Amino acid sequence: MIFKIIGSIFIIFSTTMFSLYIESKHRVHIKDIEEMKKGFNLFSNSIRYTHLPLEEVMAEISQKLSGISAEIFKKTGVYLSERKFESAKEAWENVINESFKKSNFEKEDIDIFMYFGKTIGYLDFESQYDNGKYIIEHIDLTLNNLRNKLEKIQKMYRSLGILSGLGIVIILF
Amino acid sequence: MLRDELLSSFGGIVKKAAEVFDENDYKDIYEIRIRNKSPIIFVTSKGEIYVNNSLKKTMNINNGLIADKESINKTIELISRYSIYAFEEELKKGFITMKGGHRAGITGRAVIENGSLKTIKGINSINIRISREVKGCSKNIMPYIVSDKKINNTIIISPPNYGKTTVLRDISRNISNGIYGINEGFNVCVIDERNEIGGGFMGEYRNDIGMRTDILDSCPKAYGMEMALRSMSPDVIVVDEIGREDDVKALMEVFNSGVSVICTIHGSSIDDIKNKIIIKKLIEYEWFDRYIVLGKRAETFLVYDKHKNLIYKG
Repeated sequence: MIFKIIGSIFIIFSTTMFSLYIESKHRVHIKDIEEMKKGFNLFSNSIRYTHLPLEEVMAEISQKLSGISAEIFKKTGVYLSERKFESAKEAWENVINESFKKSNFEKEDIDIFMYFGKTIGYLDFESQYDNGKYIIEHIDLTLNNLRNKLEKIQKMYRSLGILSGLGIVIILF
Repeated sequence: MLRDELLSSFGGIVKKAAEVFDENDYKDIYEIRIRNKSPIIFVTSKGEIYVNNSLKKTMNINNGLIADKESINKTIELISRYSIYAFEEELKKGFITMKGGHRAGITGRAVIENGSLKTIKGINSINIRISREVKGCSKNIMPYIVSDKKINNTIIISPPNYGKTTVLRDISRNISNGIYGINEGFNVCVIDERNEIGGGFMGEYRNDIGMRTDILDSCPKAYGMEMALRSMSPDVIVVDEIGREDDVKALMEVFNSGVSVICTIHGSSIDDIKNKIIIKKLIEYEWFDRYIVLGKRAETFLVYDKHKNLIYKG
């Protein structure tokens, strides 16, 4: 009997932890996008006020960010300073593709980031600044959707975690 | 080194063509002309050279590799270090200064706002003028610039592409460092509106412009001269390509302050600049002590004194 009780507690604990893990994945996803948004904001401000070359802008931004976002901006800055690609678009797209697999970003996020890549390097001051802002508006929409989604699924995942654990225990008993 | 510097700024077919030339070839190339849907032209002292489809040099323009729009766009992006937005002011003047101080003149569609040029879009031609330091090229000119331990107010006259800026750079270095037996070192302030003298690019200078030289780059000449007078207490002000009324007004201020001036102007002879309304007054009042007229590639030159009498021909 004692083994059954320990087993049941273990099952309920596991399903609850699994649901919390799924929920935290959503949270990290939102946090990473918020970091990217911060990066684009810093980008627009830097274009507006400093007129620094793109490679220096990217390096500066990376120092103010954390996680995968910092890595993306830093790597792009390095590629640009090495003149590894003939356009800033190619450099950015390569970094995004390289980072995609190890990130929490989804296909829709990557599409927005890729669009940003299409606008850097060749535009005049105003267009470059405006495009940075345009990307931020898009990211804001994505963030709103994700936050609403998280709110809805948060309660559901938590109760589902415990209930599914209980369900399994009842069936096994 | 010059080759690598230039290649890092070229993209697409332009890069392929430029790669055909080695470091030695680049010593003789002084212009690269890239026009959309036209052959890429490398201008040397021996004439124009092109690159054919087999990536070999040719003298026949009809076999030359044709530049396309994509390559021009990539080249512009690389020239500006992927940062066209940082070159707005230069674009308005029709050029971008490249790493190493080379000047990329551009043409395209001018965007006019409120009656003035806002920017140039759809760039379809690039003319790269290769800047190079020729240390010692002003050796024979220096004795005419210095007299009685004083630097003469000097104007250097020549048509475009004759080596005015190269000579001016060497003169400012010589005045700044001093030359044994000719002059001691003076404090020089270079007003480098187009970043060609110092070869400045994003705050770094490639060229040696002397140990006692301060450089004010990307600054309109008239403002620059005023600023230098007020803040840097120079002995000599060096300025390239004067030609506007504002420049002449600022020059008058410099003359009145007792600071010497070395400047350049486009022209073919002393008579040619005498007819330029803007500078006429300066000549009539004999503000300049020396007029130096350069020959092709600055290999020959004429020197006139204050009263426009020829004192050297060689």
